[in-house]
Amino acid sequence: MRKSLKVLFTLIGIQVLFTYFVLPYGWVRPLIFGQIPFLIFYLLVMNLVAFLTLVFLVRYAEWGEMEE
Amino acid sequence: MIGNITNLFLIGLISYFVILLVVANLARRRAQPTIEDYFLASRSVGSVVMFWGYIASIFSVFVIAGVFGLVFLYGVGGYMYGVMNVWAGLLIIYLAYRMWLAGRAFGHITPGDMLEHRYQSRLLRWIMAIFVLVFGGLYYIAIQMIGMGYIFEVAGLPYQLGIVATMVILVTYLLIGGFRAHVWTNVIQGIWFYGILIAGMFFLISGAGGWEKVVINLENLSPRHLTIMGAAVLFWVTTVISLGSDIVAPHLWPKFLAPKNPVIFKVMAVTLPVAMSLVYIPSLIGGISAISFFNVQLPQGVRPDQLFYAGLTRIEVPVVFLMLALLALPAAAMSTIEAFIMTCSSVVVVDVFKKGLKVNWSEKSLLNVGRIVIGVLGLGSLWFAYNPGQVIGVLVTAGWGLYSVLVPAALCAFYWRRATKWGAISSILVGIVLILLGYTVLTPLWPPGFQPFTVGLLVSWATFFIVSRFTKPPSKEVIDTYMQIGYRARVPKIIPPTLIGVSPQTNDERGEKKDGN
Repeated sequence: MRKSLKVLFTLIGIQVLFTYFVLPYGWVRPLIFGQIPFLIFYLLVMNLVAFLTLVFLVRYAEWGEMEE
Repeated sequence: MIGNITNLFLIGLISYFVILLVVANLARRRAQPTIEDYFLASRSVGSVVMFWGYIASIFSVFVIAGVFGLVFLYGVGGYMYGVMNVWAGLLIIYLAYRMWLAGRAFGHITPGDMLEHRYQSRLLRWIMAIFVLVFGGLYYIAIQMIGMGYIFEVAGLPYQLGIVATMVILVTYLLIGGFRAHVWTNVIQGIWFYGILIAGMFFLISGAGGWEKVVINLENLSPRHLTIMGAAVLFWVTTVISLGSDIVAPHLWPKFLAPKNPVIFKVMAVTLPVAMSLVYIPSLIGGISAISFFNVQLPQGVRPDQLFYAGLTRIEVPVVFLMLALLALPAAAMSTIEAFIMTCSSVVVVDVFKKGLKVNWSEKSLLNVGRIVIGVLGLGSLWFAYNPGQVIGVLVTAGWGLYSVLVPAALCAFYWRRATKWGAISSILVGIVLILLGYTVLTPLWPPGFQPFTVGLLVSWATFFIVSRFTKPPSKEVIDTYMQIGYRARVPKIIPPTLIGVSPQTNDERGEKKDGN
């Protein structure tokens, strides 16, 4: 459980810092690939990080015998 | 354009109702005449249905209306509300999965079942029943209908006709198919409004002249919408402490008792938090585009939470898309309404009649009571929708904060040996009183962005720990069993005799059920 908590707090820290420093408009404005706002790119990457973190979280959690 | 859409909207609405009734009829074919089947689909829900069932129930009218209002208030910082949803992954593993383990072992159907069992207190069951019926009942259903009714006016139909027709259909398919119809229809409703939000985002960006123009326009007119405002940070910090309510809110708790196997919790722990975070992206991008489109000045008579539809109608999207978008709001509202109605009905049947008053009725009779409750809730909420009054506004805004007062009792049930019934009862009652004060007389004290439930919630947690330290915990067998579920995710194979005495199911019933399956 401690390992899960460490993983999760790391994710929260990354997300909060990224959101706080990256979202302001210097980062909101640019486009990538000529069309897509960097904002969407950033949000999707951030959620990919969340997804991978949650995979680790599930891996380390205590699930008992997992009987069907 | 709105005049042209009325007929198309009416056709779409009728088609939507027909689809819901067909799904309910399919659900009915698999129904069994038992309380567990009617309220939990015999604990047989799979991962896809569970995923969309949860998404559709938790994201009500708020995700289409409320988040646009948030973005109008806080700009891009409104997305911080979505960021915190990753917490839900931890809660699904360490709270919801444990609730499911205990629920399956001891036959819990309502929140009151688990809390009475763990804390050995009939009083706690009654308090939970009253809590669910008062704070998760008529007023919350009514406010969803009021939010939904707006869309009928946009489509050129009478508000009254819209909400009455919707409630009649909703009650009908719940009567037909129970919880199974509820979660199956949630799949349609969830995918529908998720898809409409994403498509609507692209229409709004395009209608505002493209992203670059959106940002340049806002830089000139309102650069604060492109920054993280202090109020948004305070809003995030004071909201994050209420997150346990994602699991223990009265309309969501029973959902976590319904999955058919533990693997579903693994899938949900990874996918739900990300989906809950992603759902805010179209609202954020679409909201920013709509604000820029209207030059930060809302059209006359339009509220910030109506920005999505105001934007879509102004930029003249294809009429079929507008019809589907208008129908998405009833879809979002109905999924949440159903969840509340089913929970309230199960509470009346199980907590009030079966376990509270201990009536010796057959399951069939009790199920009829549940169906009557569904009908009464439908009629009652219509009355509330016509006569909202100020108290509804207070209760709705306090909603998620109020549900959070259940978190100490639910979470500590599995992880703190010293947790007692008086700790649970006092924390719930103190929390309710302080949170309601926070939304009424104490409102002038809070700075912008501060969630009024924060103080009440912190005091509720403190009350739980302090009172539990000085009161008598339940029997050692009960505590050992719940600690084993909490820390090791295991239910003892042999239930101690003292636990059977307070269990909602006896060992015989457990044996019969296994044989029956």
